[in-house]
Amino acid sequence: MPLSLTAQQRAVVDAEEDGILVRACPGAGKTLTSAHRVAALCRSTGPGCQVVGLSFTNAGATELATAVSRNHASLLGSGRLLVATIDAFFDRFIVRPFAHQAFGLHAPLQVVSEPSVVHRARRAFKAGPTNSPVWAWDIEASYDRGGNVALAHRGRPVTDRTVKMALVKWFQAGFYSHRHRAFLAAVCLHKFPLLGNALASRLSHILVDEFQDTSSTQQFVLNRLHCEFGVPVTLVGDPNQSIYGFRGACPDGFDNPRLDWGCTEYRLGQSFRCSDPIANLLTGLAPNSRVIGRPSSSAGTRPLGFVHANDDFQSAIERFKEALEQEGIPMADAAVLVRGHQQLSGIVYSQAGKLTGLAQMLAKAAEHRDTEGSRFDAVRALKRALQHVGVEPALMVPRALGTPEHADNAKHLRTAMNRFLLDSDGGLPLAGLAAEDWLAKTRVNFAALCASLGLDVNGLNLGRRITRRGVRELDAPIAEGSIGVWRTHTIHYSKGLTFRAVLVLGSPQFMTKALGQARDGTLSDEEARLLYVALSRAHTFLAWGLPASTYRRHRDLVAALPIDVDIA
Amino acid sequence: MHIEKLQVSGLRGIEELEVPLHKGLNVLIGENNTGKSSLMTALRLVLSASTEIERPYLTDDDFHVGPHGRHSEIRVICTFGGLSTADQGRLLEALVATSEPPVAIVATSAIRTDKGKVRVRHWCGTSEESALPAALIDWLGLAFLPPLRDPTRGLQPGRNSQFARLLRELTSDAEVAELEAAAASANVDLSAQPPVSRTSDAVNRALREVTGPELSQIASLGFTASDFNRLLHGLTASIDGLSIGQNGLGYNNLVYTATVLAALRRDTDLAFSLFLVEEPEAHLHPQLQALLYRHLAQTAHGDDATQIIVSTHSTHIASAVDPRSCIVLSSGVAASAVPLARVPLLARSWAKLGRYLDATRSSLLFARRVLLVEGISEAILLAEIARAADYDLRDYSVSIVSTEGLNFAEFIELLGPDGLARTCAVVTDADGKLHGDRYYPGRGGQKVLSAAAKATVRTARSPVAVFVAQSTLEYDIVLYSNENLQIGLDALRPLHPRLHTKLESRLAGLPSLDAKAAEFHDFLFEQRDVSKAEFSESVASLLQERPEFVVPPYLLAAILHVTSPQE
Repeated sequence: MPLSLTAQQRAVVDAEEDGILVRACPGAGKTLTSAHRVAALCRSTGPGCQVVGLSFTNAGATELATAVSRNHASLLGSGRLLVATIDAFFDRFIVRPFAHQAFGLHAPLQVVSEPSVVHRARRAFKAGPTNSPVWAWDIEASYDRGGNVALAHRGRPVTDRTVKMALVKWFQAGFYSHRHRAFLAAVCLHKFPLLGNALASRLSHILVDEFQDTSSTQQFVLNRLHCEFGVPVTLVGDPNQSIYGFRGACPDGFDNPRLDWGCTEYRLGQSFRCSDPIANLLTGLAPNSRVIGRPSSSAGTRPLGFVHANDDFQSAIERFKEALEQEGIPMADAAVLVRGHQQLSGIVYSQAGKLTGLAQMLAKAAEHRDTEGSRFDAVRALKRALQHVGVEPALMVPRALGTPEHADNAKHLRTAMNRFLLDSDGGLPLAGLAAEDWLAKTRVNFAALCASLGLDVNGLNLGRRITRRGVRELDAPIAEGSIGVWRTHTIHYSKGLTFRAVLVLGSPQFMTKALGQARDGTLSDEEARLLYVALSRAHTFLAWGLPASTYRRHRDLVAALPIDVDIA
Repeated sequence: MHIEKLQVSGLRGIEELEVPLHKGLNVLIGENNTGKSSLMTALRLVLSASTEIERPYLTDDDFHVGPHGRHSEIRVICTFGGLSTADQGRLLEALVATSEPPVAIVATSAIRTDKGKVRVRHWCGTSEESALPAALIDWLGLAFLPPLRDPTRGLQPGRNSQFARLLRELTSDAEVAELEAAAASANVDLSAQPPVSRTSDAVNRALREVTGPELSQIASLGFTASDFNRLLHGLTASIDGLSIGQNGLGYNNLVYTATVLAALRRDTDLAFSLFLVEEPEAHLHPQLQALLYRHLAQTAHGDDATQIIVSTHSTHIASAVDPRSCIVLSSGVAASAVPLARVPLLARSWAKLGRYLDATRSSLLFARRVLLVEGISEAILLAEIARAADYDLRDYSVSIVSTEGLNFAEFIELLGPDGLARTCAVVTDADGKLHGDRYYPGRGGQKVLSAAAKATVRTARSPVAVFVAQSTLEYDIVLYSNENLQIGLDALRPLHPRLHTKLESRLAGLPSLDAKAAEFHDFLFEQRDVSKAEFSESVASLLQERPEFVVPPYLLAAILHVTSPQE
């Protein structure tokens, strides 16, 4: 048993009950505790049985697997432990082997997500009987909080029987989508009781990390496995951090009386991330779940609230920078967290504007790729950069592939461009890097790209025609306040991460709504929980951008929080 | 859990075959070319997904050649039945939930590509698209003992030694540490022995001479490292003071088999283990064969997780096991595999059959067509009589099997439509009695059947048919012509010259052939105790030179039945 665990954590690791709920505050070491727990459970698991460690997202599952392999290296290969996402677990053990049997088919249902399968599915229906329910594709099926089947079409609840039949027709045709997976698992479990018993004998324990992010249907299936078939469970999570509502997360899985887990409750209230003052702020926002700060961090700086003009993030960022200097925290250790992608790219753009020439073009390409997810704009920016150094524009047009004399060169160039854009290590570096790092890496990798373009056009080597001038621009001294001084992320992206200093920014609408919902102290709304997650990413220093209109509206609430308000 | 059904198609000689198996010991019996080895290969294909060593290598030649050319797919489907809840958990991904009781399917398909490559895919459940998960493969164990193997190699010290495997299974982590410590201290003691230290000094001296005092490093001699795996490599056995290499091949075979079996059963990670033994008769003499079989049967008995499948064409083996564990393979137009356990017989009858097979080493189970007779006299006579009728029974693969006086009922069930479905003619006596005396109906007379004969006639169903004598074989032989009677008398003369004279004079006074035949039988076999077997032997010896012999009609009918073309 590792010595680094606290008494609370150790109690969770060693818990002997068949079912435990673990409520953990932000930074409580959930994943580490979960890793030790699955390792301990594996040790007591007989041959032929498996312990399953689940998380909601791929990132979460990877994190859990990493924690296990770091602390108990031999375990993952032993076959006794399976770490996966909940969806992958349902797929492997229930849906893939049994869903088609439930619908009388001979081959497993196919997930309709790849264009080819979508196309095939639609064609299968068009060729079928009249009134083929192609539209039924958008039907969402779930078990609601009350354990009843609920159908919705494009977000709107539907109760029509024909809708249900239409969905069944899709299944009978051999297709389903990711959003039906948990529902199908529930159907299989209902249809084949032997499946529940078989799972109970195969799985000696199911541990679910990030339980607050599971959907009501997933909770329903897990609940049946535990309560009806006796599969032992450990459910770890923090309802305050449930921010996947748009993907069906149901934050009250712990407390839903319909589910009645019958589990012993444990609590991890000690945070290893936040300093005392930050923990106090979190407790202030959600008094029901008290957060204890990092040990010996009571002397930390109180969080700052920067009241700024609506949408003027720049002023908040400037003040954040000053505060960082005072605190002696390097900018590379800081992060700006914002609610949406739009605001994110707004902030990053304002940084990139300070670069010139080739550096600016490449910076734009990196931003487009990393922030907006717009490959098209990223490719355009990269093309402009390549033109700048002398690559013939005609070669970069897809049409060039059709002309025989250019075909090979054009193909080579396009492959090289794609590789450069896709590979942030050997190609275009991440926009979020610190400026010096970013430029240094770009310099090397872009030069390598140019060198690899030894294109031969009409007997003339293009490599020789690429001007050195453009590449040399990258050697120019970095303009003040260049790109990527600190990392800038959306709140969803930052889930599970820790930063030494954090500035939380958001639109007045977001902040006003989040604070308004936090007023009752339960964080029953997703926007409030998003704010909670963002604030709880900070380790030492936290700054909170308060748009002027929000501050005006919730002045009393802000005043009651342990925070130093700075009105510019 | 056990494999309850094996379906094979497109593999070597097998176009399509379904073999029902049962838990415990299964003995595959059949003549050459009935697919015994192919079935072994099929099982190895499926269950060796994880163990490279046992995996058969498929080539183009392994694909069945049918009337329409070479097949392009080999498919082997193992259906597991008798699943406990724990088994269902382990084979979860392979479960067929819609069947009642639930079964699990683990299968392998091999596809021959145009370029002559063979692509093998392991799958499970109801669809070929469900790949076999790694964990599941690890829980299904397989050990295969090929025919004519060299067991010595498997027992020699080394990484793959069966002793090493067993020791690994039987050693806990704490004991590993103890073993290593013991070996380490033994190494220290050995290194301190004068010869070792002398050698060590010599090496170092030589080293210094080469490198000079500045560069020389000290070499120290000792025995191989003492970690557990190295220790395993060194493990070997001696039997009666002889090392494995000095032992006979046959006995090593037995040691090897026993060790493999023990290691397989000790492996607690396995949910199921299959033990395949192909033609173990190769190196073992009959008594050892029987002992091995008894051991295999005992091992398999009462162990739900171990299934043993043995293929053989040794009659010794077939006779040593419970007939219910036999599965009889036959080739031909419609290849089939018939588990004898399917034949509806009472336990008492099985025991009786078992004792019979054991005592007679009977080839009954290997025969394609059977002429079933009561005793040795019929067995001796019938082959010759058939030849006299211009039928050489060997040409028709007909085996004459004697029940040695036992009731026919079990044999008829065994060979009947519910069992092996063999073309079979049962030749039996009517043995009818009237007012307590044997009844001789004469040539055209109405037969009177004894109770046993009646029962025999009643139980027979196609393709088994019963042919009944007018009274008894010896009577019927002399009944149908004067020449036959003369042959009978001639056969008697060398055996009992005085009786022959006496009988001849008695027959002279009788009016008809019917009466003479009756007197012949009554005088020799009812009043006197002439040996029927001796008499039959004597008749048989004469038949070759006596073409005038008239084959009794019921025997001719039996011969025609058993040699008729198969449907």
